[in-house]
Amino acid sequence: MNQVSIKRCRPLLGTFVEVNLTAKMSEKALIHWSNIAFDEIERIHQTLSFHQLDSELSALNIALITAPNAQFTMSVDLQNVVTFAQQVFEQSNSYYDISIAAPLVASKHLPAHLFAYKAALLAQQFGCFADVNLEGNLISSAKPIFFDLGGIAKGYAVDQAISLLPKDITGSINAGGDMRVINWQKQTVEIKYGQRNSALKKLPMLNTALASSGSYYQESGSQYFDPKNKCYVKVNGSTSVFADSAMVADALTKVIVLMNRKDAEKVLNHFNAKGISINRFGFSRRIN
Amino acid sequence: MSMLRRRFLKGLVATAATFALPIQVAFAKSYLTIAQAQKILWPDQKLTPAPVDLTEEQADLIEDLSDIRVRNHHINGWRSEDGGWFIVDQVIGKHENIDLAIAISAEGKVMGIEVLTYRETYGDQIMHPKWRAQFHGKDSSEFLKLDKQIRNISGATLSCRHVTDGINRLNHTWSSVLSKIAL
Repeated sequence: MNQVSIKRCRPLLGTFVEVNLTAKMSEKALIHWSNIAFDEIERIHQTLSFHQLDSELSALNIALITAPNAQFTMSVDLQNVVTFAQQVFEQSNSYYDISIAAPLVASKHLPAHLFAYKAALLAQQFGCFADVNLEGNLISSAKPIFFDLGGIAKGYAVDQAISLLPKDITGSINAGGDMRVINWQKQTVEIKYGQRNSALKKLPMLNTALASSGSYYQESGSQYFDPKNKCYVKVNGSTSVFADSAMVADALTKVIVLMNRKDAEKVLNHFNAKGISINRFGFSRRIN
Repeated sequence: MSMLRRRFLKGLVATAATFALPIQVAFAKSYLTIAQAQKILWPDQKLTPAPVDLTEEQADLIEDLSDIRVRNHHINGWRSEDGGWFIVDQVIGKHENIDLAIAISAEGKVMGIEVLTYRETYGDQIMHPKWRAQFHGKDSSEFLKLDKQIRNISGATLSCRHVTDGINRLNHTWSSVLSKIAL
């Protein structure tokens, strides 16, 4: 059988999701597997979306705002992501915090279904992730709180989609920069470090998953919120993380832009990840 | 200087600028062809070409309803056997120029969206008329560096909100014009 390839791109998760697959099978079969990948990404998106009223995350958020002490039962997917977020919170000395209530409430980015509670929200004393109590799939909080899973939901969706593909398929999935390359050894990646089209740094892949932080698009997502100093941080050039999974890569890329070099090294090493910093002139150096 | 002479010089300078602007290489990625997208979005039905040209009134109405500019009055559409639509459309953002394929069911539901070609640029190029005129894969090779091989490219997240706006415009196009066209 001949080797066939397919390159698809759909707008999903608020960004562009690419599915590139190659295999020795019929084109119809490969299309089928690319549909499986997109369907799984869509399913995760429906479950973990911060902006959609009917997502499981929205149900959790409303529960944690109105009755934080009551235990909420999470699905497997939500449990996986929140449990991981707790691990990164602990390893990063609280720099990684998915409960970013303060800046969102103050800004216009609060979705309508939470906006209804805005008055109550502003009056309340919010907790942070330290107030969260996790017991397996049960979650509650000592103080009102809500979560935005943002990037790690994207990374998790990519990981789940890849896990559904049969072994004889190679290729990659790239969800707005969070990517996983199936046979990554001996492959290279080009990392964007500036606005210009030519601002791409070619580097060998160091692991299967990669995520990057950078402020060159100058959109609201280009600002990284520092929960300790309560301010936004911009990234010059690019800070990238190679890891075993896209969810880990995404979380760590957010957190190491806020930390000093020594602490960043510790967190990266704990999760078996490698960090790379590229300055705005395109010079790269390893963080760990 | 007389008004006529001033106008003439203005036109001359504008024309000269069009030729003098350096053509910067833009970044472009090709995904599915139109034929491939048709197979994926309408796998079980035959598609028949059904292009539509919007009148001024229709375009104005769609602009009012969607609050989005209707740049192109020509709709590159195909009709499925059961009355659904396959449309190739273009979305232009500040730095992006994207060709899309969209499938709409006979009831007006968006069944699927595929990006056909994605182009990005940050230079003076956005002023160049050639950049604005790119459409339907008619890319001039001196202008774009289309990547033939699969490149792994990673960066920070770019929002797809211009695509969302385009889909909104198309939904209104369907409800005010396309839904009224008999099979």
